[in-house]
Amino acid sequence: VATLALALLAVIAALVPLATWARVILLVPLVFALPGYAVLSALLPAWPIPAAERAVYAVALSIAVCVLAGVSTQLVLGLDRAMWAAVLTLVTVAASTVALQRQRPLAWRRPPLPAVTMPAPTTVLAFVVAAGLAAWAISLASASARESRADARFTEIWALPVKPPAPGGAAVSIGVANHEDSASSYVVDVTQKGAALLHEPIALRDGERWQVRLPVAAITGARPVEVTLQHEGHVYRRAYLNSGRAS
Amino acid sequence: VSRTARAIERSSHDGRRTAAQPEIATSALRLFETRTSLGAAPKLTLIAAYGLLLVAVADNAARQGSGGSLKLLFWVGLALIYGPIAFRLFGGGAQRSERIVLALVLGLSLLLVKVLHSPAEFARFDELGWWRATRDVIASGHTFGGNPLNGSTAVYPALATITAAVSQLTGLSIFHSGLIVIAVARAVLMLALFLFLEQVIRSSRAAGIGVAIYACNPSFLYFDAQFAYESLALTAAAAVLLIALRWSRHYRSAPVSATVGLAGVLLVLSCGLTLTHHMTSIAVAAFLALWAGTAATTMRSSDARDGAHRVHGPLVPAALLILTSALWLSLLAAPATVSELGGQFSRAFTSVSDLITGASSTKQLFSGAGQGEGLASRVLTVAYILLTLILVFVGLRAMWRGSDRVRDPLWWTLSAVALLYPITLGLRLTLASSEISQRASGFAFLGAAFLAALLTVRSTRVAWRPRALLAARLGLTAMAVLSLIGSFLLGELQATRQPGPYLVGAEDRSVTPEGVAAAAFASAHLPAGSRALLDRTNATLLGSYGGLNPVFGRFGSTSLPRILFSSRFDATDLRALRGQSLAYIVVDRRLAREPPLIGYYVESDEPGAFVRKLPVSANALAKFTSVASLSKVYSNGPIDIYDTRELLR
Repeated sequence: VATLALALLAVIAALVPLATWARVILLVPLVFALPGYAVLSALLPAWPIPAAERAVYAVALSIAVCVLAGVSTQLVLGLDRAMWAAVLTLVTVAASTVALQRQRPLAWRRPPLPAVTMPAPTTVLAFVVAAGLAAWAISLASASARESRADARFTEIWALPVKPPAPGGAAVSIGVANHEDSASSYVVDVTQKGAALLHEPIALRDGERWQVRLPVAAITGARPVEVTLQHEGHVYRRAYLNSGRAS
Repeated sequence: VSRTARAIERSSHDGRRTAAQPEIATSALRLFETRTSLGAAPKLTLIAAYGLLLVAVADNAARQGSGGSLKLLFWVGLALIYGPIAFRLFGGGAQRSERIVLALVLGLSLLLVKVLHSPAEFARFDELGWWRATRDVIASGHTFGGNPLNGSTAVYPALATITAAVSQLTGLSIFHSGLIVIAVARAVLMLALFLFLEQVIRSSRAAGIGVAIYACNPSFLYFDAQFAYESLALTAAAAVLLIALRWSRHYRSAPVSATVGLAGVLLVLSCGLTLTHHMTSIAVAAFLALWAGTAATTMRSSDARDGAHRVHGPLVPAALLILTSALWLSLLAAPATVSELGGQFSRAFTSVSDLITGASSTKQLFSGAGQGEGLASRVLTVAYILLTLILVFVGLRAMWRGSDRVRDPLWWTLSAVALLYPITLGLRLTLASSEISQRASGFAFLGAAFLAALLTVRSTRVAWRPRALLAARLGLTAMAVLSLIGSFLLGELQATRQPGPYLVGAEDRSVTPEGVAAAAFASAHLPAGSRALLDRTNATLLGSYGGLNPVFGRFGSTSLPRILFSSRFDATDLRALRGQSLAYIVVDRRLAREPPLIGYYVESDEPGAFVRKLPVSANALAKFTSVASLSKVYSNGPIDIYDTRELLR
């Protein structure tokens, strides 16, 4: 019954807008625990399996059921959030119903559930502190990884042919992205067969990008489009479009 | 009941629990579990968490490029995570529930060591292949899509499917969803392994020690903790073994409905394992078949006459898994499986036969693929190998000489699995076969774990003086810590054990912001699925985050990497480009800095792989600037992307 209730709660969580942490708490069991537990209860309603072993089967079966259900469903329908919620809830509800039906006549045979004792507060505290330390270690590592990523200083430049504004012509899309870890100034020069098409000084903050779409004459081997990026007084990056064909 | 529980716990410590009391044991243990404290587990969990902090500090120092004593904290952290838990598990004082918690803490803490290595993104070749497979499932809503980074993801879709389910349901990124999947898998693996060994040897102490020893296999710390199908498959395999054991042991007392139910659980778990990983399915099927075969040969004549014995032994689990695997292979998976496993095994076979016939020599030991190991590392690695060999041979000797349970076919089967370790160790003598040895360790160590557990049970029969017992525990713990470190040294390249500055051809050490930026550009601006020629690292990034389709292999007799590395672009290169319809060439000019650490730039059978002493020349990489009709559409400094489509028209 509790499995059924949790499955229904999960399907509601999947369909209404919720914070990510709430989705994680409510929906991760729908993938890793509920379908397997329900299937196990349906297949072995009265067979005495110790709790730890039951947990192994519940999770392993959940993973297997989720994969089998997903692979079968995608043959006819695409998998998205609603479909996953529907399929996994359906499996859980169906298996739970079978389990309830099969367990009812056997209820008198089942031993009473043992009293659940809470661990000592110091034990709980120790595990919470340990989890906190582990989380701290991960946050330290994440911050360090972000820092080392920021240490890489570079600038991107690109030039791509795009759909021309008018038939018979051509156009290029040119972009610059600054990853120099500080605001930087550049000069963008675009030429075609020696003729300047664009000469534009730009200033970009770290992480900022600049893009322009430029009409050009048809690009041929004799008329390549060349884009140069000057930074701190020298040519820093270069890109070009070259068809190689004679005009 | 509480007296019974204490009696069972006592007997489970020394392995004398008999099989005649399963019902009482089950109910008593269930009650016992709720009444026992977790002993030293909370304190040891705290110590393990401090160990993780030390690993994080050491990794951060390594990431910033600073060497020295801070980097050494990594090893101290590892010892702090593993040592105290191993010491407690080796002792006889812990209760069953404490041992279970310690096994879980050990498995998850060692998984976090891998997470601390790359805490923000997946960075390994296999991981990014699975990232791509998961993204494709999410984007298309369908599995079985092709994957240029790993063809097997299409026909073994379990990991991508389950990760897509978590990601789509929760809204988490693929990275975070993948971490949840792997963490759940690791926790269940540790629990399943503990329960399996406990039921095999009937001792929770032996099971705890077995789990601690299993963690010393060279794949455990990183390879089987990465976001890849083997990490998930080991969990499915452990669950299949556990249910197979329950099937084979409890059929006589089970009613018909429970037998059908057990068969149903077996079938679903077998299907799950089959859809997860080829090698693990095959290995578990072979294990079950060997167990069934051993059971058949050791069967008493009275049992042989009992037809039910044949049906209910390990034969049914073996038959179910073999059936599901064979069916899946024949329906869909055979080409990809044969291509991947066949390639690996044929290369290994060729290299080993060349070694035997003298056509080639052994690889340079302790050199990884490009970096030499220090003296301390060599000593630790040799010590680890020797300790493992001693464990296997002493364990086998104990099996041979033991009088009790020697007729248990499962014990003999597990001993045979342990023998795989010394056999596959020889494969480390050649580069091509080293990977098989590495991957086999995840399976072979199940046998080693069993033998370690068995020896523990035997040792409890000796009356130890308290001081000698303490010394023995300390000695065993020291050897186990040494084994964990040695296994990591053996299984992981020196350069990839900790994060650090960029290195050429060094898996995750080669993943840099420039490569990620190029991948982001490709994803935003280049047609998805465009065929491209790239080195291995950029293929990983642009094939996953970038959405391009990296192309490997040959065109006719031309190896595709030749196009990247030839001194000038010639007609042969053009023919290969055309033949493979390569729309883009990605050139990473950093490749000219040094030879690739893993031995090759693009793929393991490229010309010069593993024997290259000098890096590719800068001129070879710069030759594309002078090729007419090539367009350089992107540059970020080290990485340029050339558009070849005009050239190929």
